[in-house]
Amino acid sequence: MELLKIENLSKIYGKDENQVIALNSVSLTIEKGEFVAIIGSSGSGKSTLLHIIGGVDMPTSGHVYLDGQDVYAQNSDNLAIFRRRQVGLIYQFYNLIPTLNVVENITLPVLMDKREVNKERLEELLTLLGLTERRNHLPNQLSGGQQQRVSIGRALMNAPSVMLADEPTGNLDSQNGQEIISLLKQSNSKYGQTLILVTHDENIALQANRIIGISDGRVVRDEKVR
Amino acid sequence: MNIFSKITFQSLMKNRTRTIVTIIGVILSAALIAGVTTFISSLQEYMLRDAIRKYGEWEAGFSLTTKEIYERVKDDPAVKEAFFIELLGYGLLDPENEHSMHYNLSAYSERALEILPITLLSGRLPQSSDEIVIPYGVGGHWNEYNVGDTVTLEYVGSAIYDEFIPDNIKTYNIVGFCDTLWHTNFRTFITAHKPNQTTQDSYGESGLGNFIVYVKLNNHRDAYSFTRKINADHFVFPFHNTDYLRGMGVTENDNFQAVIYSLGAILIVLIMVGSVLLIYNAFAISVSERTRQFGILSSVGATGRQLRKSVLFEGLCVGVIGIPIGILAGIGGIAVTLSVVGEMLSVLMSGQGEPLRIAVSWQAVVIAAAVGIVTIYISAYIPASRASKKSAIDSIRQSADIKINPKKIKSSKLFEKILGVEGMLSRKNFKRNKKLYRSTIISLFVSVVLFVAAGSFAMYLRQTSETSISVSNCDISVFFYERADTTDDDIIKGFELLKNADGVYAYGYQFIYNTLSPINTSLLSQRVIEYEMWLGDKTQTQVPDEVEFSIILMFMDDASYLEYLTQMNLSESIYYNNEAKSYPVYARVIRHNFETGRIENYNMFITNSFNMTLYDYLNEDNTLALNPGIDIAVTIADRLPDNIGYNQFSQPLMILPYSHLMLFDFPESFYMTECMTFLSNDPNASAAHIESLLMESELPNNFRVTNYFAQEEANRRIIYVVNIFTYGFIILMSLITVANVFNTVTTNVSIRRREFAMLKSMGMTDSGLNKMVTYECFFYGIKALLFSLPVSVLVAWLIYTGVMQGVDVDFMLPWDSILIATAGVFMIVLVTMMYAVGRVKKENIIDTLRSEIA
Repeated sequence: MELLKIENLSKIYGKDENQVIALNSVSLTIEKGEFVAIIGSSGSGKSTLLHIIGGVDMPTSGHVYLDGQDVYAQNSDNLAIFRRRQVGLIYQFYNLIPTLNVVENITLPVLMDKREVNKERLEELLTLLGLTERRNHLPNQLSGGQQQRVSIGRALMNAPSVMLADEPTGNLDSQNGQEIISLLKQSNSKYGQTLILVTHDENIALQANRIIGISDGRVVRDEKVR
Repeated sequence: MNIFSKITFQSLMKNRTRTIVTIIGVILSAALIAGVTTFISSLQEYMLRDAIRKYGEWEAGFSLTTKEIYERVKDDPAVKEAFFIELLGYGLLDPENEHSMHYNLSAYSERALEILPITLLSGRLPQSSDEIVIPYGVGGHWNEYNVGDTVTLEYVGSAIYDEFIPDNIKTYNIVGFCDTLWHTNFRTFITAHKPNQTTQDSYGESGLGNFIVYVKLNNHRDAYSFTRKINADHFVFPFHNTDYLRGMGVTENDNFQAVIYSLGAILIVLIMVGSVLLIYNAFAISVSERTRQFGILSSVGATGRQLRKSVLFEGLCVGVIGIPIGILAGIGGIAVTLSVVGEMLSVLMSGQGEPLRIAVSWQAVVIAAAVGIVTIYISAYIPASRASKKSAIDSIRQSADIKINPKKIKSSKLFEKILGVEGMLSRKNFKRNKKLYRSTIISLFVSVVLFVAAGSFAMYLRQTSETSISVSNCDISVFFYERADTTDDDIIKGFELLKNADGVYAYGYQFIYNTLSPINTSLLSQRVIEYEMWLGDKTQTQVPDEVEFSIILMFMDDASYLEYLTQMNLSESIYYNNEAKSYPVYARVIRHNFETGRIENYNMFITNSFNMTLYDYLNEDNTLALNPGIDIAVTIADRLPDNIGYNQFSQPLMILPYSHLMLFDFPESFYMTECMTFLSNDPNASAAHIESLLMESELPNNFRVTNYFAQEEANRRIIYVVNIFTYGFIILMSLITVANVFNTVTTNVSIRRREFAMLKSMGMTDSGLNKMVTYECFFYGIKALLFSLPVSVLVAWLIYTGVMQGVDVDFMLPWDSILIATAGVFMIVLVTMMYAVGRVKKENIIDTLRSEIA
């Protein structure tokens, strides 16, 4: 079943001579439940693509449809709600709120939605992420790997249909990195969430079902691995 | 420019908005300080100018002295020159009337004529001993003479006489008329001293003489020591040209000078506190933003000293632009202010004369510049030295700048319940950023306290000037001063005529009678009893059972009386009843306490209703005029009717309708006065119209129209001038606060740009962001007010106790100022926050997240 459809997506920075084309008419479709790795060298436009899918950046032209809905046809408030409910974003630099503890950071998207926190799901996530003991700690009291796990918890909390991870292991050592990937894979298989992961690490990419290669803003390779 | 200066300069340019706001802060504080110092120097220059205009340029003198003293001081090494006036004698201003006032006939030495100010209205100064100049203001037949006439003066040659019998006659040519004299008795006829004239030492062996000797000294500062020295050797009466010396900065035990300087010092300290807060804050922000830069610089070998210097260079850049502009602006501001109110101020201070105008002294400029430099130096040095002490890697990591203590940022569940996640986030941010916002809160605090203090000061000023000056609560009153020629009917006829005068919207008349009544002391307030005891027989220690008071009876026109009853909620059936003899009494008296010098204002009675018996006044044939007395049931009223001719009473005032006057049948001796009163939309036009209506009418011509509105103009003017200065000051201080709040808030928001972007990327809507920011502003506002409002109330109370030393006033909170200050605090914080967030909101989420990682 088709979940995500990208049509002629372009992103151009700057003007005239200083113009940089980050994405050049990219079109893609992604099925529900897929684990897609986007690879490419730095500056290839892979992160830009991910961010536009996640609704945090604006395309210059083209459309992104999620579940048949045009993401960028919404007003900014609805776009915010879209980010809150449909997408889970994981960044290389965790981007946690420094004044909130682990539990508060994880539950933030739910709180912003003014909904009750599902206690069971929270406990399940904390156990899954191995953060049960650290639930009351602030981000600056955690290691890098732990912080990234918190940000994964935050992305998973709302059970979004798409998880977008932007070099989630880029700032971690290999052991911590592998743990994070395992976690993401687990949630992909366990909850059936679509996972799109940007990386320049071939090893990580090989764990995906599908690998999309991007260079100079164009899709240069698109392969189902398994 | 070395590399550090270059980097500093670039970072100043990069943060253009903050740099500009900092420079504005420097300009404001330099302007305020220059304004204060220039105002003081202008005041001093004015006093000197006024002193020279009135008294002339000399330091000291000796009165009632002799020619020997003149000879003695003339050659003293400290004296530059000496001159004198010889008093020739005294005459009657009106020769026909032996009770008329005296004039002095004085012979001025040549230098005295030149140095002592004599403002000629016509003619010239006397050149010989048969010429005189007469002050125009002495009046009488003297003003009928012309320059060129001769006059024969008969005068007594000595001030000591048993009977005033003129023993000298001399004819003088009048050569001129002069304006009022300030340096001597203003009824002095001035003639020139004849060189080598033999002086008559009129006062015999007493050692006193008829000379007034003036000295100009080589050094102003010797004025007081010189007179002490002469006084030690001779029997003299020294005097000083105090105002002139004060203008020159020479004073002895002078409170006035001390008050002006200490007031100036207090203002400068306040301004410094405000501006140090702002400028310090600006530098602290800049330094913490540049911490990384410093780290990198010091990791490649920059010394702490070099880093400090680079911050001080930043201060130099800001100061070089800000201080000169500020000083010019301050001087310009005072120049403009004085050009508007200078004349008014000089009228207030000396009754007349030239306007107070701008006078810039080098001291004023130097003080302003020095204070500005010190302010910037302090502000730049502290954060700079803190930054230079950090280790290089700490600086690069910026680890020390973000320290969060989990306990400190706990927020209650209740918060979350009520204000939602936005409330919780804002609460936590507020707690985290305490230090960052401290200076914002302090400067808001200073501004609020100053604002409320100024408000309450202005309020008491208004209130006390009402108590001490305003005597009427009508705009215009008319009364006939020769009662014998006027009948009550005349007055009522006049009233019917005048109530239609232009602009008049309320009108009434009052007939006032005076009686006596004994009052039982148990009804009286303690202050009345104390006052009566103090006034009465000191040997009597027992409080008497009864005290006799004058009771003033005011019979108002019935329409006004009935309106008053309605206002006071008093029933017509009781208080407008021929039989009942029941009336309201207003007993809030204003009395001058002779013992303490205070003006007191209090209620005489401690009960609200009682009976009194009006009796009194012996007729000429020694029989009581009212016998038996008239019993009246009294109810105490707490306010006066509107539109009556007098509003200050030192005795109880009974208020009655005019139609009841005949019930009393008072003898003529009880009658005091009457008047018609008017309230008008345009009092000046109405007064003129009333006057012309009366002139044209057939009514007696002995009326007097008083325009109270115009009389109180001067009063309003004082308040106006004081308000201009207080509020001008407060507004500038508030601007410093605004600049400070702006700097901290925008920086704080820009430091948190990433956090905002994160929240947005996780799906926080713009309105959610606004909500969070609004709550945060609310916390800052609350915090600032939490400290400043109680302190403001305390300050208002201190002002109240200060005012109470002189006048009875009620303690009132300056609610309008408090409300304005409260609203202002929230406005300032909210507007700047919204501005700052608005800028952040426009940015692309991912750009923001990315930009600060690098």
